[in-house]
Amino acid sequence: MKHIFSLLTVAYILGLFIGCSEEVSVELKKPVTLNMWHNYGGQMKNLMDELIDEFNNTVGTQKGIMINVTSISSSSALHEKLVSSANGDPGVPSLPDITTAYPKTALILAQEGLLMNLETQFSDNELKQYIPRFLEEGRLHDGKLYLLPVAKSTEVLFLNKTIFDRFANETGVTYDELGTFEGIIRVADKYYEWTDNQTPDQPNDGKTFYMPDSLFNMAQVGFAQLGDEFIKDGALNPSSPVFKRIWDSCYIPSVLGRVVLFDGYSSDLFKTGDVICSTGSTAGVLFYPDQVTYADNSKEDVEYVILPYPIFEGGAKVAIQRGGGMCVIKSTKEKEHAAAVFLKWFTEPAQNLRFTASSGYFPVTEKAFHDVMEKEIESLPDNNIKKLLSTAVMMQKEYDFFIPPLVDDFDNIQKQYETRLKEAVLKAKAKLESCSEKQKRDMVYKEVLKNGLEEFLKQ
Amino acid sequence: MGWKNFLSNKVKQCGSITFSLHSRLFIFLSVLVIIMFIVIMMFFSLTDSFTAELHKTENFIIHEFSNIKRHVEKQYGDISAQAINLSKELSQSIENGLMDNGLHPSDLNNHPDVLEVILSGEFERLLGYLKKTKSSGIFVILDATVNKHLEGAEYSRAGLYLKNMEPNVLSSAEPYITVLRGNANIGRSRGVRLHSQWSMEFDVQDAPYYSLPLAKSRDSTLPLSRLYYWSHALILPQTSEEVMLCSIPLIDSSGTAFGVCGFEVSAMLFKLNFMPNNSVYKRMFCMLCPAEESNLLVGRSLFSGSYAAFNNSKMSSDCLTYTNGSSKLYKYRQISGKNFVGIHGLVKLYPNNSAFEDQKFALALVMPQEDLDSFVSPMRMRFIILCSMFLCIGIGLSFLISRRYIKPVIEGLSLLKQDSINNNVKTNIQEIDEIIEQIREKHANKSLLPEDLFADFIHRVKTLTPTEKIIFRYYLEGKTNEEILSQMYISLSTFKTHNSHIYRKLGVSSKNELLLYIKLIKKSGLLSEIV
Repeated sequence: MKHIFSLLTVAYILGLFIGCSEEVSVELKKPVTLNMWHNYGGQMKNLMDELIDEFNNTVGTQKGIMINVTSISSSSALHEKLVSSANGDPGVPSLPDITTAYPKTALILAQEGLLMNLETQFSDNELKQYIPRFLEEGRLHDGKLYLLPVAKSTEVLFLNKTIFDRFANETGVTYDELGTFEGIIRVADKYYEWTDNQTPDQPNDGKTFYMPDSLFNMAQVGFAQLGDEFIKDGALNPSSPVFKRIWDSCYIPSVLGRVVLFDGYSSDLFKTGDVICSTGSTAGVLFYPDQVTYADNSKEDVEYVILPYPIFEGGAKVAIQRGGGMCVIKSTKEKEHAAAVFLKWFTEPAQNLRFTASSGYFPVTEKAFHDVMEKEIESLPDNNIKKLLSTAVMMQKEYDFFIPPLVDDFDNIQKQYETRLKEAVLKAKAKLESCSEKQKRDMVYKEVLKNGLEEFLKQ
Repeated sequence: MGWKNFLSNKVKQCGSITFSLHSRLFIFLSVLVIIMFIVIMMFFSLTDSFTAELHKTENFIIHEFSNIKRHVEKQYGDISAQAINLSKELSQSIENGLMDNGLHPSDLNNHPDVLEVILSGEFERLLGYLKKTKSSGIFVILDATVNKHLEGAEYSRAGLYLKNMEPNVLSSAEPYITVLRGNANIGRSRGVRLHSQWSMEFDVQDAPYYSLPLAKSRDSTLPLSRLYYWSHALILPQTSEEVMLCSIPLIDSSGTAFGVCGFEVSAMLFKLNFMPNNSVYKRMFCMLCPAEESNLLVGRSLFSGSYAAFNNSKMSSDCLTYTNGSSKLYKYRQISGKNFVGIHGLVKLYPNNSAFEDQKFALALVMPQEDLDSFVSPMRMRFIILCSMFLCIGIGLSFLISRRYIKPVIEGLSLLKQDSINNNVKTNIQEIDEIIEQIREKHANKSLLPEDLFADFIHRVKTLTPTEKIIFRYYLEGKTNEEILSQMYISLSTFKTHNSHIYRKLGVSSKNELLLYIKLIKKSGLLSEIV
């Protein structure tokens, strides 16, 4: 009996040994690889690469998690790709495990039941670390948290200081005039005239002054500044008197060539000096060039001024809250858990500040935003980022931030509004260009400007 | 001499060592277990069981490598072929376009006004080629600049560079194209955005992809198909992504080169197209790099694999020095001291007689040495530990079995010692019971032994003469020969004669035997019989 007991003990120890080694090997043999898509380009891509490498070599190695970036697109291309993947369109790769997304994209995926509710992986205490207003944007149609903020932005006004100063010195315009949209339009008129006068032998070749990166955001925020809603009951709100006011501030100056509505970002036009003022995302700051390249390939070094988001005269100080977050696609429990481990690490203040501080984004946790970022702006090496963050911190104190409503077909409403407005502008321009005589031209001007909104609404 | 005595004594001692039956059985069984262990180990060794995991890994890497290499050669070959076609079409089209304006390609540098028109006219052709070729970008660079009066104009070249930002998307219906280089209006007029790292012209100051094909085409009479050039991985000025460029000269009808065109393979495209199967070896990665002697130039490579592997291996401009290992795999050592293991082979990017035939590229599929070790060693270690445990358990069981086997013998001995042998005592082990029975029978006979043994001797003592009896008595008293001689006053020869008579009569051959008899008789208590 004694011997049998001894043998059983040996067998048990042997079993324990084999059992233990199997458990370890499972952990080593089955690390989780997560495919990620993101929309961070240029310098942000490098930062993202660095952080992912760091994760893979530290926490990832310890916990058997590896992040593998398989696509980097612009936010709009990523949106299309995600929606196409969700629909199972042919030729489109299958959905990744983690992706950056804006709320409108996340909403489409969440409604299809494709996203993981982040509250299943984040405790209440963990969620309390994030700035509540940033977190709020990630709660979608059913109140569940599908989008974790990783970097947020707002819109500000970018101004090519070098060219503007030249213009201001000769015309007497000031930066203060750029505090309102109406002021911007007035300055744009003067700028057109000033640039037209640079080439006396070529009439009507004045340059465009201003471009809003997002017409839709301008309208949404404009409504909010003026105390109304741009989207009401799931559709545009053209019956509001605010609609016409905002329409006039876009449509008329665009037809007149003071403002440009361009299929792309204003930073593109800044590269060639075709525009010197824009409202756009703080996250776009890195895309504004240090040099303007002119048609003869000559280049001019330029500086920027970054001003708070303009308001409509008489309106409240309201700016948009932008910047997507990261979603986790529903998958196995292991992958969902692994994704949450990465997201928690990625949004820890140390990593989050590295990612945001030099890119024009804001960190998303209370600690990183208030305790660290605000105190360390002056130590940043990039002048534009320094100016940007100073402006943004000031705006955080003085502005209210508007979160776009999540309505069905939001994406389509936005697309329709922007496309039809641009089409209306192009149509009006074509009409004007077809007029050769000045008197006739002035008459058409009045007619076009007067009827533009009516035609738009008829569509 | 001392050590010989020592050894001799030790040998004698060993010869006199006694082993218990239990020890002998334990040793025999242990030897049997050890022999079995050795046989098993030899069997595993002969069947390569110890190195099975390593061989499996080697085969996996070799198979994966050959797949990727075939894939790389096919894709790079296709791009090279498309570059040749592109060059022919572009050369002819640009020359025709210039002729329509009364110009020749050699006039380009003096007519910057036509550059935008000429390049804009080729936009759709470039876009078409980009869509049908598995590349991430396409470019044309003309040997001309928009403004030759600018500082640095000698290194500035006009051209057009379209970059596909989503080269991995299979559906090319609407690729996301940007203009990386070229007049901004060319893109804008078609609704194509400028790349965030856009510049109007190419900086060709340190651009072998531009200068080498041009120089070769001017210095040699090789056909176009022998003039394309593959750059190593490089980062173009004012950009951030590593790319490999395939460039080929643009040659007019008179045979004069007036620019280059070609395709780009970006780091992302390479990564997505040639991703190794890292389901088992997570940090295994693939790289396409220039090869020089026994070095792979890591700093000029494109990588596929995880970012972690990329990070581990991407050490600026250093290289991996390789050596042949004992297995089918190579060992690689980085300057930093980090070791890798894997396989590599030259990739044929150029045809025979190419102007750049000497330029060697290698494809390598490697992983950190520690990863292979951490995969193979635990398997081997577990095997060795299990075998060792088998040996220990075998020896332990030998001990237990031998003890249990010998138990009845020990019990039988115990009974013998207790002198309580009788017919009722049995061990139920047949052989042992027979031994006890034999001993019992002999023991019963042994009680008559002393009288039987000495009766003859006592009887013989009585046949001695008086003198012989006196001498015999002296022996009984333990006297020495000298003492007996001194007391009897007889000569030595007489003494010897008496002694020989005594020995003969008593039936002994020596004095020692005689004394042994006397000793035994004394012990048996029969001394009175002979006195």
